[in-house]
Amino acid sequence: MMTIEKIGDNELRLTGRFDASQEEYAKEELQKYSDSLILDMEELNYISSMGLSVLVNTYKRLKENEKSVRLKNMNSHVRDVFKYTRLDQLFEIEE
Amino acid sequence: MKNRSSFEKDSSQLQQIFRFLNESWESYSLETKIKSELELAVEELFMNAVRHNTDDNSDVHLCVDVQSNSVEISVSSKEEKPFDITKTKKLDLDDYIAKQKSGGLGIHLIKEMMDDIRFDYSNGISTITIVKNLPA
Repeated sequence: MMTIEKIGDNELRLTGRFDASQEEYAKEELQKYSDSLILDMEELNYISSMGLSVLVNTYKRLKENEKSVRLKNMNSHVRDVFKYTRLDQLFEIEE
Repeated sequence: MKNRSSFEKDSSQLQQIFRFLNESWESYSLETKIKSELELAVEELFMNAVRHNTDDNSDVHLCVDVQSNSVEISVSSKEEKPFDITKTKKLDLDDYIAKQKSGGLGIHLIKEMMDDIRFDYSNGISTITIVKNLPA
């Protein structure tokens, strides 16, 4: 299970496990935002390729309007997944 | 000891699959990172079967074998046209990033995270076996 919770004007906290069963929920939640976003991943324990795909599509949608997606506080598993796919080069990542 | 179970070919089964995997290795002290990588590889293989192997609705079978120096997991399903993931082309990540593609990263992640991947096709059943070595 995963939850996406608004914790600031443009900041969301992702909690739990972002696996393929969360695709529709995550798409629906992220679709609500059209401004630049900061995603706090401190409580995100797991992400698979479906999670990455939802985040890349959010990035592309926002970038079309010159907005950005910044990711922060990734744990080591989540960071490895971004590193192995080189998506750490696409997103702005904050330590 | 080998632990086996079967799952309906539907993404709603994922939570039960993760539960089964965790039960299979609960008496071993595997590192969290290794468990997450194995879960990810199994999720990607299972979801490939859900999305791309739609010829037949029969269950997907998992077999987990935790040994002293490795964990071996087999994912089997009926398949009319076998898809051998070990023969897929290496993903061009520079092109992938430049074109801002999305999707198609699952097999790439499995190859990055696992130490060995084997494919077998016999009697209409595809079996993909992934192996993760454990630190000494």
